[in-house]
Amino acid sequence: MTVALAVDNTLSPGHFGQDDIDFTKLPKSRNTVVSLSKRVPAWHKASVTALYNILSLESNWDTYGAARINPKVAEAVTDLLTSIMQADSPTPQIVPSSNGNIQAEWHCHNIDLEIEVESKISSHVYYYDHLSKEEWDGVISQDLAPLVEFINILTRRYKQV
Amino acid sequence: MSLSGEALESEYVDDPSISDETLLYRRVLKKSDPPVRQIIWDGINKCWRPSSAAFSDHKNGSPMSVGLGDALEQHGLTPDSLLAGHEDFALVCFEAKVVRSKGLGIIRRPIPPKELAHGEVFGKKTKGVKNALVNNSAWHGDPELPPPPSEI
Repeated sequence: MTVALAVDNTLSPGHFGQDDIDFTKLPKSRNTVVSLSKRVPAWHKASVTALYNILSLESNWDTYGAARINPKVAEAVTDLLTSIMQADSPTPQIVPSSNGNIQAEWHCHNIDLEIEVESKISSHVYYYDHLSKEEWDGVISQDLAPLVEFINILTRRYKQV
Repeated sequence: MSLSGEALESEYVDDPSISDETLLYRRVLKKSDPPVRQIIWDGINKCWRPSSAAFSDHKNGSPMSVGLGDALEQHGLTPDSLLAGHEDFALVCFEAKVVRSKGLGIIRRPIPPKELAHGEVFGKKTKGVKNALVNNSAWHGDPELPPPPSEI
């Protein structure tokens, strides 16, 4: 199944079309188009596509008995990324886990950042800055300040290149 | 089947018959249509490698499954046999001692008739533990990965 993201010029600037993304309703046919605002950042489009692809995985997708990924986890990922990312932040790689979580990760510009999203109020985070040697390993609940800071540092380095 | 903490404690005891040098194998998703992978591009080390998300237990508590190298040998099988029927997967391996150095244990749990070399790695898998498995793992064979991305 391919989910194509189309730019909808009728949506107002700054509106990501987030309301149009309903992960509980997987497209049933190939080449389904999900409309998003023209102003949607590149990372947002790529992430939504990746999440739809993850949700298309069938039961036992990992060959070890993993269940299908819950759409609510995908929703939690987009909510979290929307809360912490800037328009020109680099795109994360998005990976499913056998435990039902979804991980957004970056390994670039001397930063390792992994955010394993379990729910809207629980994410396991690992951060390591190869330049400053700062390391952070813990659970983020509702205070996203550490994550915002990590993304700020990553985005600054990304823009410097 | 859900495993409680107490059940885990009684059922899971590290098996010393599995030597530290035994290779443990795990299948890692690399689907191309649509593209979904547990393999990520590491732009710092400039290589494709497994994501730490590939080394998790199941939500119901079942520990992480692996293929045991010594059991494969015992049954006259090769590691490649672990990929039979699983074309959307690559195979990664790591030594048993890596697992044990992080406080995890290993047991044999064959599943006849097809998974005779099946084992499980039990114990708490923090981000640090999973990343240790990533950093001490290697691909078995050619995982046939795409060329490096232009921007990640």
